[in-house]
Amino acid sequence: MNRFLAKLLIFSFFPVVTLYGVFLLENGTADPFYQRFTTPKQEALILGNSKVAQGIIPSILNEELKGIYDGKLYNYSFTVYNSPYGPAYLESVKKKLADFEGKRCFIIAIDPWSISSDINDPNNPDKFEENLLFISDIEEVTEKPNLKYLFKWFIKSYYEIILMRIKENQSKIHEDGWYETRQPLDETIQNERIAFMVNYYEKYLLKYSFSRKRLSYLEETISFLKSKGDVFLVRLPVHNEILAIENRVIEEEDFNELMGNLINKFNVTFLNNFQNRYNFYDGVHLDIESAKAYSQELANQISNFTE
Amino acid sequence: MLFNSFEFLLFFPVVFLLYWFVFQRNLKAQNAFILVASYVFYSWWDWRFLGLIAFSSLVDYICGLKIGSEEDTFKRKVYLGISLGVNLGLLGFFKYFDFFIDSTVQMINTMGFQANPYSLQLILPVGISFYTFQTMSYTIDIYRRKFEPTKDIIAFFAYVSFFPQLVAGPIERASNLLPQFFKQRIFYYTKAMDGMRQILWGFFMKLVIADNCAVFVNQAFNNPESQPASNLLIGAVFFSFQIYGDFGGYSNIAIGTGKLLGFNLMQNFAFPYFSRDIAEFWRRWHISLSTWFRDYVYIPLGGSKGSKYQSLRNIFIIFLVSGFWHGANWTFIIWGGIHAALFIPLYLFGKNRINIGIVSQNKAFPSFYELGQILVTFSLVTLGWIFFRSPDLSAAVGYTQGLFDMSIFQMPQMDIRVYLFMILVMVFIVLEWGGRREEFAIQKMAFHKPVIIRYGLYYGLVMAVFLFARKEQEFIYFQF
Repeated sequence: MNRFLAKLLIFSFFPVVTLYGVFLLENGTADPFYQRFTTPKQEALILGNSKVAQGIIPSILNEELKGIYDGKLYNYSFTVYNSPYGPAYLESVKKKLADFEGKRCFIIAIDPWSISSDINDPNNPDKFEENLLFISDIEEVTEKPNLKYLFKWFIKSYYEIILMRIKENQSKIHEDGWYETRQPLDETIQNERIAFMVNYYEKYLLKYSFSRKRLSYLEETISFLKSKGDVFLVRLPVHNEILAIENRVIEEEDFNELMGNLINKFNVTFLNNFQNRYNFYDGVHLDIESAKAYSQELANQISNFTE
Repeated sequence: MLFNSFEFLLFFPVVFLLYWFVFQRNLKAQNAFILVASYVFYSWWDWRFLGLIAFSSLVDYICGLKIGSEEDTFKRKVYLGISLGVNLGLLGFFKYFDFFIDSTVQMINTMGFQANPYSLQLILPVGISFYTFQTMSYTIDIYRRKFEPTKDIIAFFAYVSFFPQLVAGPIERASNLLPQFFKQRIFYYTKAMDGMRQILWGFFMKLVIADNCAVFVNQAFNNPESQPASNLLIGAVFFSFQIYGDFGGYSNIAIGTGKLLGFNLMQNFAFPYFSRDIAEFWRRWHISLSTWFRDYVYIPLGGSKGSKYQSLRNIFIIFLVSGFWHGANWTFIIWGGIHAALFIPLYLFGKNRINIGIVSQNKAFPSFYELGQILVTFSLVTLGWIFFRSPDLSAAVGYTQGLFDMSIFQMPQMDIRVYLFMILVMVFIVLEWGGRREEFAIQKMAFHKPVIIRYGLYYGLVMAVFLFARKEQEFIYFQF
C-alpha cells in the first residue's frame, strides 16, 4: 500500500506542475474575465457591464488625463449578469481597489439593466442572480494563477490557453482591463446580429423589472468611490433600436430623473451628451474603432469638465 | 455524483483510505462501509430515490430467501413473479409510463378519435435500468438453482448499490459479484496499479474523446439541414466515438475503481470498433447487457434451438428489447431493429460465429480484407447510431438523407479545434489497436519498454485529460 501511495504521489507531481505552468501562460486570450482576477489591486476603476468592458479603453483615458489624475484607470467591468450593481459587485470592487494617496477618478457606467433584476422579488439581494456567479464566488481578485476561477469558472478547456497563444485570436483582455474583441464588420452580418440582439432584448425585457435595492447599491458604490476620488457617471451609446428597448426596462420610474437625483445627492457628474455616431458589432457593443473614438471623447469631456 | 467531478475527487480518496486503513480488519464493517459510501454517492444526485434502491433490494433479498427455501414450484414462481413484477413495475413506471401514454394518444388520434396528451413528467431515477437488472438476475439465478440466496442483508444491499457500477454498470451477475462480498479483500499492489491505469484510460475516453467529440456532434445533430453532407458524416462518425468513449470510459473507471477496492467487475467493452461483423460487434459492445439478455430473455425463449422461424423471432425480440431498454423512444427501437436486420443474414448463412477471436491476433496490422470488414462494420454501426442519437424518427431519417448528397465531397466547414479532435481520435484508435489483446488499451502497453517511456505515456494521457477536459459533462448512459 505504501509503495502504491508513494508512487502515486510522486507521479502526480509532474502533471500538476505542468498544469500550473499552463495556467501561468494565460494572458487574457482564452477567457474574457479571468485576467481581471489576476492583476494587482488597481488605483482607479471603470465599472459596468460588457458594453463598458469592450467600449471604454483605459489606456486612452489614462494618456489624456495623466496631467489631471495620478491614479491609472482599470476596466473592471464584466457582464449584465455578473456586474449589475449589488452587494457582490460592490464587494469585488472594494477588494480590487488599492489604497492610493494621489488624485484619482472613477467611471461608473449606468444603464437601466444595471439597476434592474430578472428575479421574482427584485428587491431581495439574497436572491440576486449574480450571487451564484463568479463575481460573488471569487474572493481573491489579485491572485495569479487564480486557481478557484480556473477550476470553477474558466469556461473553456485548458488547452485553449496554449491554442490561443499560437493562433491569431479575436479577443483579448489587455493589461488595463479593456476587452478587445474583433468581429467581422460586414454589413449584412452586422444587421443580422443587431436583429438578433433586438429580438433577444425584447424577450429579455419581459423578465426584467426595476430594483430599488440595486439603485441603493449603486448609491453605496458611488458613495464608497466618492470618498476616494472624483466619480463620473456615464451611459454608453447603443444602437437606436436597442436604446428604445432599454428605455422600456424601467417603467415605474423615469431613468433620467433617477440619474438627476443621483447627481444632486452625490454631487457627481453625469456624462451623457454624446452624439450617437458610433458603430456597433451587434447594436450593443462598440466596435474597436468606435471604442477608441468614444474613449477619446469621454476623456476629453472629463478633461474639459475638470478644467 | 459524477466520476468526473470534484466531489468524486474528494470522495473517493477518503473512501479508499478509510476502506483499507480503518475497516479492513472486519469484513462486515467493510461491507457496511461500502453500503454507506454507495448511498452517499447516489444521494449526491437525488437522495429521494435512495428509497427506491432500498425497496428494490429489500424485495429481492426477501424473495431470494423465499425462493431458496421453498420447495413448492408454484410458490417459488409466485416469489419470482413478485421480484420481477416489482422491478419491472418500477422500471416501467419511471421509464416507460409517459412513452406508453404518448404513443397510445397518438395512435388514438391517428385513428380519427380525440384524445388529450397526458404526462406525469416523471424524473427517471439514475441507474434504475442497471440495478433492477442486477437484482433480477439474482432472484432468477436462485429460482434456477444456480445460486444460493444470501442471508447477509448488508452484503446483499452493498452488492445492489456498489457505487462504482451503480448508475451505469457493468450490470453484474450475483454469481460474480456477490461472493466477493464474503471474502476478505486484500490489497495487491499490481491490482491497484492496474486499476489506476484503467481509471486513467477511462477518463481519457470520457473527458478527451467523448466530451470533445460531443461539441461537433451537437452542432451536426442540432441543425443538420443547414450543414453539408461532409459535416454530417463527420458528426455521425464523431458520435460513434462519443458514445463509445462515454460509455466505455465509464465502464473502465467503474472497473478500475472496483479493482482499487479489491473487486473484480466484468469486462463491458472489448474493442467493439475492431469487429469484423455485426455479430462480433455485439459480443464486444456492452457485454454485460447483451449477455444478460442472452441468458434471461433469449435462451428462455428457446434461443436457437427451435425452428428457423422461432430463432429469427427470438433474435428480433432480443434486439428490439435491447433497443427499448435504452429508452422510451421509437428511435431506440428502430436502432435495435436495424441491428437485428444486420445480424439476421449472418445468422441465416451460419456466419455469425466466424469472427470469434481477436482480429490480427499475431500481427501488427490487419490485412486489407480485415480492414475492409472492420470499416464496413463500423459504417453500419455508425448508421445505426444516427437513429440512436436523433431526437425522433423524422430527424433521424432527415439526417440520413442529408448524408446522401453531393455536398459530401465539399470540404467540411470546421473550426481548427475539430482538426485537433480528429488527431486525438486517431491517437485513440492507435492506442486501442495496440492494446486490443488486453482488457483495456493501456493495460500492458509499454510494459517492456524503459520506465521513462511507460510513465511518459501515462504522463501524456494525464496531461491530455487535464488539458482537454470540459466542464462536468454527464455520462450519456445516465439517462438510460
